[in-house]
Amino acid sequence: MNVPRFSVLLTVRDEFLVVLWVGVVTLCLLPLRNHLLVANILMIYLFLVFLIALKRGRKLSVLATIFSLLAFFYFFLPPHSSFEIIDLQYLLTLSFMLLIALITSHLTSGLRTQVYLAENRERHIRSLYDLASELTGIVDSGQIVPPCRRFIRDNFDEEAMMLVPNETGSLQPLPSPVSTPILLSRAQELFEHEPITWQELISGRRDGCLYLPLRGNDRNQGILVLISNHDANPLSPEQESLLKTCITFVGLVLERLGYAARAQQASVQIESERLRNALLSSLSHDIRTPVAAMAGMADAMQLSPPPLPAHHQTMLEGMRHQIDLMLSDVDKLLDMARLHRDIVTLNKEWQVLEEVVGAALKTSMDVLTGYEVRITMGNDIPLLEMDAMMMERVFCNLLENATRHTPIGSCIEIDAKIVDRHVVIQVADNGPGFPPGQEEAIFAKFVHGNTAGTSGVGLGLSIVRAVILAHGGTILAENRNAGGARFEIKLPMGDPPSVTLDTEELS
Amino acid sequence: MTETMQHVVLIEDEKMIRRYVAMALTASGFKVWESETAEQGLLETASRRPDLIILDLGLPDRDGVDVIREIRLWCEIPILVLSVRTEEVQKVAALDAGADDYLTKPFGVPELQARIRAVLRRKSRQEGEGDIEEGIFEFGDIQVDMIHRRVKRGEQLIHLTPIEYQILTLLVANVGRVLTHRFILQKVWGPDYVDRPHYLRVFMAGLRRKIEENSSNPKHLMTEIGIGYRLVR
Repeated sequence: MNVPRFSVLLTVRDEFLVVLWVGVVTLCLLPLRNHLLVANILMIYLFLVFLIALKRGRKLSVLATIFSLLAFFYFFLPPHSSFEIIDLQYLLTLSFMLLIALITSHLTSGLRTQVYLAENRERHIRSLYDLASELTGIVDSGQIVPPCRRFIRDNFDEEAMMLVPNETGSLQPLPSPVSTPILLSRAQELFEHEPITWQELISGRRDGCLYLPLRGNDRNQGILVLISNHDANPLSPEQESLLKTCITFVGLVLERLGYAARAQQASVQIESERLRNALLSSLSHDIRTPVAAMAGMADAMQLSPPPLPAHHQTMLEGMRHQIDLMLSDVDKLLDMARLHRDIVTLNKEWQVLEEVVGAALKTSMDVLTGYEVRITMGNDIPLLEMDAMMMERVFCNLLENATRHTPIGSCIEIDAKIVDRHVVIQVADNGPGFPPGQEEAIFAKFVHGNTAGTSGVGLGLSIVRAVILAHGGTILAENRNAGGARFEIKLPMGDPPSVTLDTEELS
Repeated sequence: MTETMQHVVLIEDEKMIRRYVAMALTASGFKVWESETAEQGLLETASRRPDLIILDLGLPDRDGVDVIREIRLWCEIPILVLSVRTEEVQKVAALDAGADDYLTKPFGVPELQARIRAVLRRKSRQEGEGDIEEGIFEFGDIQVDMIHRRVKRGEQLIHLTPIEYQILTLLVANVGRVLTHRFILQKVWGPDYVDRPHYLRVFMAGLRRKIEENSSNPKHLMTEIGIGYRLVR
């Protein structure tokens, strides 16, 4: 059995003391040697050995036995002052005495060890309990340091520092009064790599510093550094297991703090998203309501008797037209604001492309007045997973863009075909096309094409691109060889669900 | 216009919108009862027994869909819902709760008048003043013969499958009115299919190809994105 640090007590001084004690007893007994029975003298020595075994452990009690026997032989066994033995029976006596001394010392020192260990274990458990109760309530990683330092100091007589990763994953020391230079690179290496065995860890002391990874359930949460103030003794198995428990526990605490922080971040994100949507819808409501009322009143004015004079009628129509333009711009701004974040929440369903295009044509009916629209769409176009409302905006904006840059009477073509597991949709016109080199720039926000004096906020095409990208597709703009502008949208085909068709005829 | 004046209860909290809708309705010969809140609107509805209710979905005191459910508990007065563009889910919920049709703000007066006419006409048809004469319904150059279960373009027979025919007759019975995906799926396929709108989309695409001259730019079988379909004559 191993008693931690017990060897420290076994110094030369202790052995000298044992010899001194035997000498003192011998000196005290010498004047009485002619009055006491030999057996009683032997008992007194035996008692001394027993006491030493009780107080000082096995090694010293054996030492005491040997010296006691020597003293007894020399001074008390007749003939006195010699090691000569006149009666062989004394040898038997002496052998028993040695045996008894050894057994006694063995038993008592065993007991001592047990007591020592029990006390030690209790101390460990108490300090672990203290550590646990201090760490369970904390809410910030900085609060870990003081209880940990206290724990390490009490149980290992060493200083402690803790390193935790920042946002980029590189380790930073938690604030602590200790400022010993430590090897950050060594700590970083331990933190990032696969766990090495406990033995390798515990024997890897560098410049008096021991680096221990704090493991959570799935990955390292940080590094604990033990800094020795003196020449470090190797840790005993009890200390090792205590240290293991400590770093596992601290690792779990750090992990808990990490989860709590992440949960809070997520709830903040949800909250800000909610706020943004609330802001957008109230903005939308506050702008649209008065404008809608204006549009309605203009309509009502036209309808109420008596009929308006012709020039008032014209003014009213102009007003109505401007209101419509303004509403369309407000819609675009709101669409863009909604699409602004990287995460666009799409309401995806399996859609028939032709239907979405058809709906866009109906919505854009007014702007398309005077234009010819040709649509070529094969019956083989599969269902496409998309947000129909957003895609309708895409086609509306492309159609509006085409009418804006081509004269009335121009022809707009929309066609779709399958190319290489993608559906390629083309929206083309026969107008002047894009200014050379502007094919990419037109998608930027608040950019107008070449046509001077065009109205609108210049967001239509950026919305188009944002929506297409959110659908995992691509869009490019180019000039047609035959003249005119051409947009090409490429959408992945995905894996459409099957639909059971009824092929029989109505009877 | 009918000889007796028709009554409308208008429930809308925005004063400006309420004013112009009321103006437009009065100009079209309706008697309008204005309400600012849902509670007041429900009281007006109970006391005036109007021919039509116009209800804004974004009322401050109560959820519009709730109001529709409550009205539908005790009467079948047509309800026209007013809503904004971004509230498609709410519109569908309102229609499924029993609203007859919707208008997206901002809307023009001609649009409003057309929608009101369609809703009121449907009501009178339900009361036996029908315009499906001798079981034949016509739109564009299409004739739907309900008695012989035949659909013709001019003199030419159009071959429909049973499901296509069922969808078409459902739309004909509700001409001018928007029908939600859920409603059509439930009526044609049954309750197990209400969550499979792509079924309906595929069949509608087939139907459009047979009925419409240009299926990409339909004139009669109209799609209301995010809501459903509407047959326009």
